[in-house]
Amino acid sequence: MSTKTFPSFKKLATETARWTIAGALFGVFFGAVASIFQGGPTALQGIEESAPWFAIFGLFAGFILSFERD
Amino acid sequence: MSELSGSQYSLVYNMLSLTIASMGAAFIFFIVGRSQVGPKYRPALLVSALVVAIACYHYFRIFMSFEDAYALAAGGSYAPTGKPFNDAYRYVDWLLTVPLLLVELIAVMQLKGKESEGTLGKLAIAAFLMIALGYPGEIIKDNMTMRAVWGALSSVPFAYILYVLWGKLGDAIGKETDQVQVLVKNIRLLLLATWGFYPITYMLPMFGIQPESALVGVQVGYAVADILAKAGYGVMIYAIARAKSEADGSLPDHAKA
Repeated sequence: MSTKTFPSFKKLATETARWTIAGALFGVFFGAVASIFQGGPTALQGIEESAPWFAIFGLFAGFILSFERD
Repeated sequence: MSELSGSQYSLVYNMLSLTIASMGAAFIFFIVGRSQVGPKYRPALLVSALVVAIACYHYFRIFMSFEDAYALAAGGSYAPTGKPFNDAYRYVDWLLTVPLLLVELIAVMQLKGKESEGTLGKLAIAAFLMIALGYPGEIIKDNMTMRAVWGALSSVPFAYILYVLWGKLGDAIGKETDQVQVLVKNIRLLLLATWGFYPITYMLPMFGIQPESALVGVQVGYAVADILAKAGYGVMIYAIARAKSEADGSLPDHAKA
C-alpha cells in the first residue's frame, strides 16, 4: 500500500482530465435528456447549459480522486 | 402563475439555496469518503457522489429559473415576470437518480449469486417506470382526476420496489453483522419515509389549496425530500460501507481509527 500523501503530477493530470471529460460527456447526455420534458430546453441549449457544469464536477472529482490511496 | 408574498418567495428561495449547498457539500464528502472504505464498496460512494452532483446542478437550474420568473413588486410581494418557472430538470434528475439510489444500495450490499440475479435490473426498471408514470400527472394542472390516475399508476412500481427491498434484501441482510443489519433496516425506513413524502407533495394541488401555496408547498416539499433521500441516504450508504469494511477486514490502514 502506498503511503504517499501527494499524487505524482502524471496521476493528478490524468485523473483530472479523465474525470473532466467524463463529466462533460455526462452533461451532454443530461442536457439532451432534459429536452424531452415539457418546458425543458432544446437539446442544443440543454447541452450548452449542462456540459460545462458537469465538466466542473468531473474536474473536482478527478482532482480529489487523484489523492486517493490504493 | 400567481403573485407570491415576500415570505413565500423567501421560503422557496432559501430552501433552494439550502439544497444546492447540501448537495454540493455531500458531493465533496462522498468523493473524499471513498478512501475511507474498502475498495469493493467504493463504487457505491461514487454513485452517491453522482446522484448529489446531478441534484446540485438541477437545483441550481431551478434556482436560476425561479429568480427569473419573479420580480419584486410594490408592497413587498413578488409578481410573475412572464418568464416561465421551469422545473423540467427535476424530472431529468429523478429519472436518472432514482434508479441510481437503488444501485447504491445493491452495490454496497455486495449481493452475490442468486440474491443479485436480475435484482438490480428489475429495480432499475421499476424505478424508471415510477418516475415516467408520475410525470404525465405532474404536468396536468387542470384535471385532478387524471393527475390522481397517473399518480396511482406510478405507485405500482413503487410498491414492487418496497416488496423487493423488504423481501429479497430482507433475506440477504440476515447474514450481515448486527451493526450492518441495523443500518440497512434504517436505510430502508429512510427510503420509505422520503419516497413516501413525494406522493404527498405531488397530491398538494389536488387538495384545492391556493395555486401560490401549492407552488411553495411543492418546491419546499420536494427540496426537503431530496436532501434526505439523496444526501442523507448517501451518508447512510457511507456508514454501511464503513461498517462492512470493518467487518470483512478491508478497511484501509489509513482509515482505521
